[in-house]
Amino acid sequence: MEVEDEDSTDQDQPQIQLGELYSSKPATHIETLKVACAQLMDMYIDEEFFNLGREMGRALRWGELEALGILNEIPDEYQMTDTPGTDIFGNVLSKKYNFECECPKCHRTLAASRFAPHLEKCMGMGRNSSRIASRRLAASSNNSNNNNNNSNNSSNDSKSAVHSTTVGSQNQNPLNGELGSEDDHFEEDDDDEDWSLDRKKKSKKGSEKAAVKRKGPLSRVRNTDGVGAKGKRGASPSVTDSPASLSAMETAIHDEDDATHMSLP
Amino acid sequence: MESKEASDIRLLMNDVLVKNGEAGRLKDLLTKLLMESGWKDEINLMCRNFIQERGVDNITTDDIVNEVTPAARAKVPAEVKKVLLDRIRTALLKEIEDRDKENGS
Repeated sequence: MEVEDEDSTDQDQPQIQLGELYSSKPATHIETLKVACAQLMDMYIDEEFFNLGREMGRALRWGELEALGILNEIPDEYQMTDTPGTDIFGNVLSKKYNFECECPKCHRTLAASRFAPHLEKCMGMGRNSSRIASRRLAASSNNSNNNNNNSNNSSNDSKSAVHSTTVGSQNQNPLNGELGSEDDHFEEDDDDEDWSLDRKKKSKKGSEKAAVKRKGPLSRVRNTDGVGAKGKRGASPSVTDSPASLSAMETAIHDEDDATHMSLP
Repeated sequence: MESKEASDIRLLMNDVLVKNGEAGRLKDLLTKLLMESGWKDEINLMCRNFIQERGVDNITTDDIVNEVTPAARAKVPAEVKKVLLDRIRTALLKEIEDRDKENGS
């Protein structure tokens, strides 16, 4: 292969005269070039290794090797573990602390974090759970139990029977024991109504006293008092108010009058 | 004499390639090849062992380089060397062609 000399005019290579090279035998010429190439390659590799050595030196100086546990003999139990399924300390990842509980009402197993919200819905006692549904459930189960207790053979055509067969039949036996809780449930609602009654009494008293001095927002309540079932809120009966509480409100208005007569000296 | 010539030629070649920009590419290729072939990890391990033997505080970067270089050189896989050599040759030939064109035309 005819090899031409490299451009040497702008190089700092006074030692070599490429003209000589060119004129010498081709074989040695080629050999020299081969050697030169090999040396070049070695030079590059050395450079590569030098970089690596420098990195190692830095790691040594900045303590990486000790941090990785390479230099000191770290006992095996304290070594970093990197196996799948364990964390870095070697503890097996598990769901031990996700306990499961069984709902006393519907007997379903639930995760612990979901237990409280589920109870709210299930027992119908939370803020957002609808109490009408739970009342209907309780009422239908009450009816079904009464019907079953009174007449065993009569299959009633009433709507309640349909309910009872679907709803009550499932809950029939377990609910016998739980009727007490249903009643308690009712009582608690009654307690709620007493609480609202008390508030109404207080607001009535306050409004009567205050009406003389100033016409506040309560004056509006007082004026619209005798109309229908509007209570202290001044609003029409809403859907969420159960019929029982509505009727209680109506009776409350009458009760209030008696109460005021009694309380005022 | 030959070795001197060879080394001079080598320097010449290196200069040319550096000006070309080919040297940078060759070095990057070499880095990639060495890493992929596992040479880097091997030498890493060798260095660490060396450090452990000598003791952490008694050692300097120069020590590491000087002591481990010969062994490292030997451990470069043959394929890497072949590929690199090939690339150097093609780069130089291409350079010659380009210069011929410049000179000739």
